[in-house]
Amino acid sequence: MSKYIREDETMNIDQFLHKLDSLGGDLDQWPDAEEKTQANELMRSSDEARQAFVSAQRMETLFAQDMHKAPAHLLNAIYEITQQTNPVFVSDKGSRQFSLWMPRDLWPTAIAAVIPLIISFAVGLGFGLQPTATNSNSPEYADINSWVYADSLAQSSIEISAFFPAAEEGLDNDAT
Amino acid sequence: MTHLSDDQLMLKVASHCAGSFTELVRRHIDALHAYAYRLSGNPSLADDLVQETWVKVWTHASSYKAGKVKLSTWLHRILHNKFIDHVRKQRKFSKSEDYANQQLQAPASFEPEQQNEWRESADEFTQLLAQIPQAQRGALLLVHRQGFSIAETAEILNISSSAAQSLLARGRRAVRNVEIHTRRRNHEH
Repeated sequence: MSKYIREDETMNIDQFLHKLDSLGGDLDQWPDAEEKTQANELMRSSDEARQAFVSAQRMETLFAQDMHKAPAHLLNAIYEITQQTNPVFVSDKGSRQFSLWMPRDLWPTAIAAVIPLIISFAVGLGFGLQPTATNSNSPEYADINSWVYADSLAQSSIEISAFFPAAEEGLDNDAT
Repeated sequence: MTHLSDDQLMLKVASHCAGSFTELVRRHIDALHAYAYRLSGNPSLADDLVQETWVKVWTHASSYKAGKVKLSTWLHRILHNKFIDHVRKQRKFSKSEDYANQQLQAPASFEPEQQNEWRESADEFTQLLAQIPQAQRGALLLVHRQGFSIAETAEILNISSSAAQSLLARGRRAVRNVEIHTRRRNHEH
């Protein structure tokens, strides 16, 4: 059923309820004067339309007349927000720039993540677990270098056989 | 301070002027708390949502762009987002029966007689809201309780104007159906 009403038609109850839901119970807010007239005509003849209209108006009054106030203790709690924030911290340019990069509410998480890393690093240094300075060009690395950088499979197998001669001869080490 | 507009006060709040912040809180706290309370049905949750909203205003005042939206729209949007975050954390809370149960809890500080009075006075609006789905309840409250336009309601709910209009229409229909149902039930009894 169409929800749109032609000028030569009268409004039926479904069309009226659709308009009432869309536009509300204040007929002055209905943009189309013809629809307002038709709605008034329908309400004169239909109990259902009249009841729906009264219900819509009553609902709007109920909402509009709600006089809820915030509790006084909440006002005090919110005023304390300004006291809890350190103005020096807030006005500091560096921290403001940092807070643009990382929001302030993420700072505790980031700090909590970084602290174990710092502690682990400090403990590692304390036990002398630091990388030793090595020179890969020293003679002890010569064989390994020639194997790692070998150009061909043949050269690799030659180098491997140098480490494991038994493997090249097909001997079973366990059998000997 | 009282002669300054909301936008002028927000500029001062961005520079962490506590006096301007206090004046803004005084102007908007009742409306914000009413929205939070009627939307959630829980007085203590409403307190938390409003408090979190003002903390956000104090710490992120510079993100408010004067002239883009009204301050009251921006405040309601922050609060609504806080509420949605809360709902997502506690999915079951969105059931209307939970709303009704929580709404019917009078403040603990009240004497038994005061609690009865409170329950009776809050009953009609409370019972009505408890039976409306959460999204529709939000749209109804924003338009009919808080006085926002459809465009502003759409901005707060972060939806299109046509979606806001649709939510509102469905909310009005839901209210009417609740009323019809209640009237029939009363007639039968």
